[in-house]
Amino acid sequence: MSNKIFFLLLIVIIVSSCKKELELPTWDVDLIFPIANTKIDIYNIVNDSSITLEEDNNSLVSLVFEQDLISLDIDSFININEIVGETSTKLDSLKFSRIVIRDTTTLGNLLNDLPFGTTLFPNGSSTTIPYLQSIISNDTVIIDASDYFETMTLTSGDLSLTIRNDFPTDLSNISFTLVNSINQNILGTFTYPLIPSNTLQTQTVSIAGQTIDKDILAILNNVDVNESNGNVTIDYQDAIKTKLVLENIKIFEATAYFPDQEISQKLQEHVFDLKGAQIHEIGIKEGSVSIYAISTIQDTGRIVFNIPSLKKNGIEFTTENIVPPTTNGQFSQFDFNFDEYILDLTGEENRIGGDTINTIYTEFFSYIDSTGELVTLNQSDSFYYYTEFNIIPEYAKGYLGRDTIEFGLESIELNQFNNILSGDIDFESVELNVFIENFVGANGQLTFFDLNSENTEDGTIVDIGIDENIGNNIINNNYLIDAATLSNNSLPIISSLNNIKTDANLLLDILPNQINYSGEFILNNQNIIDFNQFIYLDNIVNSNINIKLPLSIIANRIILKDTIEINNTNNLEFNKLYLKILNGFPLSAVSNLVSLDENKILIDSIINDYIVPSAIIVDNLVSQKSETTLEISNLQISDVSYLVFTTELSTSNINDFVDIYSDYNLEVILSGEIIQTLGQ
Amino acid sequence: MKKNIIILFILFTIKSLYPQSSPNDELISMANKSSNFSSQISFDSEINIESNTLDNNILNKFLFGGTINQELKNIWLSQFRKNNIVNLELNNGINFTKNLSSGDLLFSIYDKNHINLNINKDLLKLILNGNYEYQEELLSFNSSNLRVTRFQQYKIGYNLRFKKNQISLAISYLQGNHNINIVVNEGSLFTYTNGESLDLNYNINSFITDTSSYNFLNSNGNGLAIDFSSTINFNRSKINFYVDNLGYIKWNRKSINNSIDSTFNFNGITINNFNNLYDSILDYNDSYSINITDQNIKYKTYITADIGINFQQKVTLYNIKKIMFGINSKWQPLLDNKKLSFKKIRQGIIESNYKPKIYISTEIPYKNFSLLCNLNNGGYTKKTNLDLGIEINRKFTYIIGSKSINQILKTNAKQYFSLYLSIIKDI
Repeated sequence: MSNKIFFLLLIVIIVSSCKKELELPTWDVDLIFPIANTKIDIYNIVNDSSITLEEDNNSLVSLVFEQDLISLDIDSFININEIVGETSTKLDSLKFSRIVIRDTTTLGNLLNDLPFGTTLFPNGSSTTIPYLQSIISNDTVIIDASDYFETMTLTSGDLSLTIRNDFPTDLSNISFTLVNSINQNILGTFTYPLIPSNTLQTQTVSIAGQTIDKDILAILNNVDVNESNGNVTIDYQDAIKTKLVLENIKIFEATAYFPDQEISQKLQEHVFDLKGAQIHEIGIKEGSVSIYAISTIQDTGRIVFNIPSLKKNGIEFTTENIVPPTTNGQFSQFDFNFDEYILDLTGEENRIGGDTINTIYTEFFSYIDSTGELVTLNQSDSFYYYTEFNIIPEYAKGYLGRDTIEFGLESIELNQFNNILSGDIDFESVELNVFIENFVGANGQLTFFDLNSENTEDGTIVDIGIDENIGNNIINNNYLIDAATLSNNSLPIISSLNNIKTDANLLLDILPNQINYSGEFILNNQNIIDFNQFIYLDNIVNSNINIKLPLSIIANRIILKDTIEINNTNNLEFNKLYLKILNGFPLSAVSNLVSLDENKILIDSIINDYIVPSAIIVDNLVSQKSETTLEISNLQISDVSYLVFTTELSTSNINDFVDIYSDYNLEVILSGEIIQTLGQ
Repeated sequence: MKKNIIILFILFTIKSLYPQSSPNDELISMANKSSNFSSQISFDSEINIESNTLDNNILNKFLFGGTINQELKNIWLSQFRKNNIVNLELNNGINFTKNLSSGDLLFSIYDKNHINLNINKDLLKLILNGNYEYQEELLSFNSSNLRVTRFQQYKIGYNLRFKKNQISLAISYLQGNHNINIVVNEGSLFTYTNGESLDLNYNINSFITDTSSYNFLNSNGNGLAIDFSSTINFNRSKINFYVDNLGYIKWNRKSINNSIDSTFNFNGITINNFNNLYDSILDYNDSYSINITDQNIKYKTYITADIGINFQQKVTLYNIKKIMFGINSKWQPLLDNKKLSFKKIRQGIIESNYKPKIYISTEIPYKNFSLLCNLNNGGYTKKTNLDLGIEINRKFTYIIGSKSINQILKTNAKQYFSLYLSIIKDI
């Protein structure tokens, strides 16, 4: 048994001493696979959003370059940004209600105060009343006005006393004094020599400058009762009635219960300066009106603002807002959105003298609302407000005025020829049109002072030349622009279209990189006032330049250059790349490709003067594609940051134009070989 | 350490083939039965790694690393056949046999591991060389397949002895642990000149049992298998026909079936939107996305069955007492896709990747030991091999040997490695 164990242990030791770690083997595999393929037609080549392609009936392709040319800004003159209606209302315009205080002294009360009065003159008896001198003398009654005010100092006011004698006998030598209870100032003295039975008499005194407190002393200085005319019936309900009236009050200062009342109203027209335009209607695109109000009155203020000429869906604009007493002089601001409102600028409805222009009519009312509390007001308290209009119109109707809008000198960048380093390209025809579309309901005049193409690289400038439509030089020619019209006075706008047409071959011969232009547009150049004019500010004057190049060309060593920035994120190193090109275009190419590092230092020349022949052409039509395969070896792209591709394009014959049709294409198949080590 | 574990496992794990599952097992069985016993218990272990083309050099490369250079690849590729088979069996178990008056009652428990790989030469060419060398050439990967199975077999059988003849019957319960079954029904790659385009065609079906646990006791399936053998004795000879381990395992619904079936022409990224290359790449991804059908499924696989017949003749030649001739075949269809028929029997034989093995074997007894010799041709290697074992009778009976002693003795390019060990005790 021990031998067996020894034997097994020996085997284990031998095997362990020879042990090798388990590892994966490594080996190289040579893989080849397609990377990308594409079929490039003229639509792919002209990869420029500023260029569209058109085909004629034979599929001949034309490049159409279209660019906005003139941008006119003529909306600012009908923008309304104004402050109007500054108004201040002071307390002296405040009203205070008429105060009436009544008092009654009955015959019964009077006889009660006399010794044996009720015995001598029982109620219901018929007797003769003797002359009673000074039956009332120095009798003081306190009149309580605390329901109306605490105290008032008046700049004006009237105090009237009416005495009605319903006694069965006449009264005479009546003397009555009203005294302010606090300062004992006499407010007024009233004397009535005779008040016959069943009559009344009134006397009024001014209390301007007086201070009146809530408690007023009414002193009946004297009343004599005249002898009756024979027997009269004694009725204890017969009375002397007094009525004290405080009216026509203007307050210097008061602590009172002020009633609800209108402080002011402003009904007025505001005329806007629209720089010569005479507008009767504006459609508001964006608009706001802000009312700024400040009130020093220690009571709740309220404003009502109406613009009858401002309507939305036929409903007039009206608003009512509470204005609290100011704190530290801060204004209360009330903003109103007027988007999509229509503003009538003909002034007040049924105005005297008829409709006007550039005018709005507003109504402004201010109030104070009673709080039910005692409030102290002073003559210097005021209520101040103003209104700010900020209106951006959507449209305006009316005479737009004569306005000259200058534009330029401006440039349109052309980058379509930027990649062409050199060479000659000749187009069989180039048609340039400048389209001017007027959406304004007024005539105008357009004049170009400059319109040319420029190659800023070499400083070459070519003017636009002759307008083929009129035979004149386009520069400095006055183009009359007709007014647009509305359909039954509403949208859509029927625009007027003017066209300037010229042959632009010379313009493009210099391979321009910009188009320059300047000029002016005169609105209402004939200055005829017409209130039927209109302007919709989203569409004023559209002007664009349109260049159409039918691709019937002669190319002579046109060298194109393009730099591609690459980002080799995966670590694939291609041993070989194969580029198979099936050229279906009637152009041959000689191509070069170099790689640059991140500092744009040359790393390698990848393709050297590689020739891609033109497709075979029969009767100016491609009959067969050319086929070539380019093999690129030892391509190191790990350090490459840029690839610079240059190609020299030529038509097969520099005397005959070749046509580019939409079905022509270039097929490119890129495949690559990599040697990949497996097992690492 | 890993290697040590493997070596120790090979040396000390216990494995036994069922007595008639291979030619020399027949001799082992015969040798054991020559002694009279009332009961017998045996402890068996075996490892077989064999291939028809891949040798130990290749295996060592893939186990222990190193660079596979072009020269080596060329050598390998020259020795590869159209179909390259690798078969690994690692089995161990315990047998208990009770000698009764009319026959023998058998119980056995085995743990069986079986890996069978059939890889097409074109696929190996592609793996080793890539496709650059094979432009304008169709590489076909048809009929490549991989089967990996581990299961435990619990068997009970009875060997009924008649006066001269014997009939044995056994039935096994199979507890399936894990299974991987990958079948390339169709597969091809055609590379156009300069790699301008690739034509790719594949139809791959795979079944994998639940991979959440590889525990020995984890059960992912259940199955049954039967054994049958019949021995007819003549005066000095006998004929034995047997069918062993004819059975299947049904794997449960936790198994995943992936099916990939597509034919397409790959041209790289088609750039049709020059304004936005990213859109082109998105289109490319949509066009070439692999459509994998992924579903949980129950499925059935067959275990490797042995079918054979042999003839044994008693002789008197030096120490040689008996000689046996026979043929052994294996049956294992890839998938249970056809009903049982002659066509399916043929399919199972072909898809077992096993060439029927013809053999001649004998037992040469000496004083304290016996030599068990078997010369055969066929099997997974499809070559001639010498199976040599030695039986030592002590307190225990030890049988140790190799089914490929000729390959073990070769200095290199060994395509068959085999060791088996049995420890038997009569009770």
